[in-house]
Amino acid sequence: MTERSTRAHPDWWIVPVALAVAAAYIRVIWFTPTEATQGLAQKIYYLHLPAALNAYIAFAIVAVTSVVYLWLKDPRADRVAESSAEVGLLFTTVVLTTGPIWGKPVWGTWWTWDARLTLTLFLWFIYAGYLVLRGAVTEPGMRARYSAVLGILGALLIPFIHMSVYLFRTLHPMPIVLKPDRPSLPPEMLTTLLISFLAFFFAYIMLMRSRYGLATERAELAEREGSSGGAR
Amino acid sequence: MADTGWYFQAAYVVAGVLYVLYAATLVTRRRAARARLAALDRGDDA
Repeated sequence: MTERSTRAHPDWWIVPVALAVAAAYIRVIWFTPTEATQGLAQKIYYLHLPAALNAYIAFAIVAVTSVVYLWLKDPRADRVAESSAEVGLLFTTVVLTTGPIWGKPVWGTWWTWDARLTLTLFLWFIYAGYLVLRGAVTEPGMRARYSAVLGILGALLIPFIHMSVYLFRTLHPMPIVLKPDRPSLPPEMLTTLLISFLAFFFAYIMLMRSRYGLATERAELAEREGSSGGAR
Repeated sequence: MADTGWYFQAAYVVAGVLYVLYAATLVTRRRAARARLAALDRGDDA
C-alpha cells in the first residue's frame, strides 16, 4: 500500500484565482476612474461589495445544503454546509473590516449602529456560533441536524440585510448595482466590479474545494479512530 | 477632494492579510489531518 502524503496537492483553481485577482487589481489601480468626492477611498468598493455578495452566496449555499441534509441525511451535504459557512464567515469578516475603513473618511466614523451594519454583524455572530456549535456537539448526526437548522435560520437574515437600506433610515448607501432597475454605475466601474466579483467567486470555489477536502479527511479520521467527534 | 489614499491601501492590505491567513490555516489543518491519517495507515496509534 502506498503511503498517504501529508501534503495536499496544489489546487489548479489557484491559476484562475491569481489571474482574476491580478486583473481586478490592475483595473482598480490603473483603469478605473477615481470618484470625485470620495477620492481613492471609493475604490474600497471593489473589495467590499464582492466580498458581501460572495458571503450572501456562501450562506445561501449553507441554507440549501442544510435543507438537503435534513431531507436526505447525506453527510456530503452537511460537509458542504460546514465548509461554506466557514468561507462565508471569512467574506463577512472582510466586509466588516473594509466597511469601517471606508466609512471613516466618508462618514467621519469607523462604525455606527445603523440597520445594515448591525444586521451584518449579527450575521457574522450567527455563523461564528454555527461553527462553535459544530465544535461543541460530538455526535455527528446530532451535530449535522442542529447546525442545519441554525444554518437555515441564519440565511433568513440575508434578505433583511439587503432590504435594510430601504426599510430603515441608514447611513449606508442604497444599492447601485443590485436593484430593480439598471445599475447606475459608469461602464468602467461596472466592468471592474464584475471582474472583482469574479475573482472573489473563484476564490470562494478554491477555498470551498480545500475546506471540503478537510471536512472529508476529518470525517474519515473520526470514523477510523472510532470516536464520533474526531479532531476538529 | 480629500486625500483618502491611506484608507484605500489599508483596506486592500487588511483584506489580503485575512485571505492569506485563512488559506494558510486551511493548509495547516489539512496537513495535520493527513498526517494523522498517514499514521493510522502505518498502524501507528499514537
